[in-house]
Amino acid sequence: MSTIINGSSPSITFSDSTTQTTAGLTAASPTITSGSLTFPDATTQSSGSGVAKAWVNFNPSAGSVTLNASYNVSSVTYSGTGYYVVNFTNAFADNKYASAGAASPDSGAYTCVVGTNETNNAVYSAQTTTTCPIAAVRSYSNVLSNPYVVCVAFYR
Amino acid sequence: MQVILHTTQNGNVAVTVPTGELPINEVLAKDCPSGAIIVDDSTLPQGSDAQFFDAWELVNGKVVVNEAKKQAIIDAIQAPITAKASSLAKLTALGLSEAEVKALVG
Repeated sequence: MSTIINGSSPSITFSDSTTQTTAGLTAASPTITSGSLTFPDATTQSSGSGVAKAWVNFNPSAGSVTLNASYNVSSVTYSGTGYYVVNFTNAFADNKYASAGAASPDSGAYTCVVGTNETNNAVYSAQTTTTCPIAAVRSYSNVLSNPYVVCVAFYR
Repeated sequence: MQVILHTTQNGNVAVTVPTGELPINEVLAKDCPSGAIIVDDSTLPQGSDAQFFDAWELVNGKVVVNEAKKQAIIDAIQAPITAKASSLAKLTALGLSEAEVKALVG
């Protein structure tokens, strides 16, 4: 069976000239009921280099965080003002993943930035396959601070 | 809401909040060091003591505020304010305002 997808008004036409509708197929949102999504470079959703493997959006406050939404994140640890650790549900293959983050201003209306906290000291270790330490600081002073919102995504 | 507490290597408290992707007992085993405990977040310090997170300590399964650490944090916040007040007091004794001094020194 071959399919033809027309350009301006896409539809599927089968080799016997029937369409999705005339062939009696139920119109529905595309779903994958078996197998997996595969990209042109033969990677899959879990291995694709252009896909975020984990992300999280949370509100930090003194002593805790309020989690708004996440994917492949099992928990977030509040370790101090501006110090957080993101824990992944499924581990990365190695620790060479990249993170991209954004933060809102803090309670003092100061602009904040977030990034991985690779201090590698006794308290805040480097990123591993299962955890990634995150730090938030005021952009003008580099002082640790709790923004209203922290958003971080992880790619590999 | 239940959270997980453990003591960090510097003696402070870390609070781990599960997302719900995994049961909290799995999060406890996977994301936290040995000795971590599950508590209800209503048992954590409230009010002004919640602002002194760096003075929190985990003692016998309960978070308490170390008063010495709390005072050290207050002192660190107060120090620059005291210094500023001292300078202003000296200016006042000379009959000058801060704005007048700034105008003089540019």
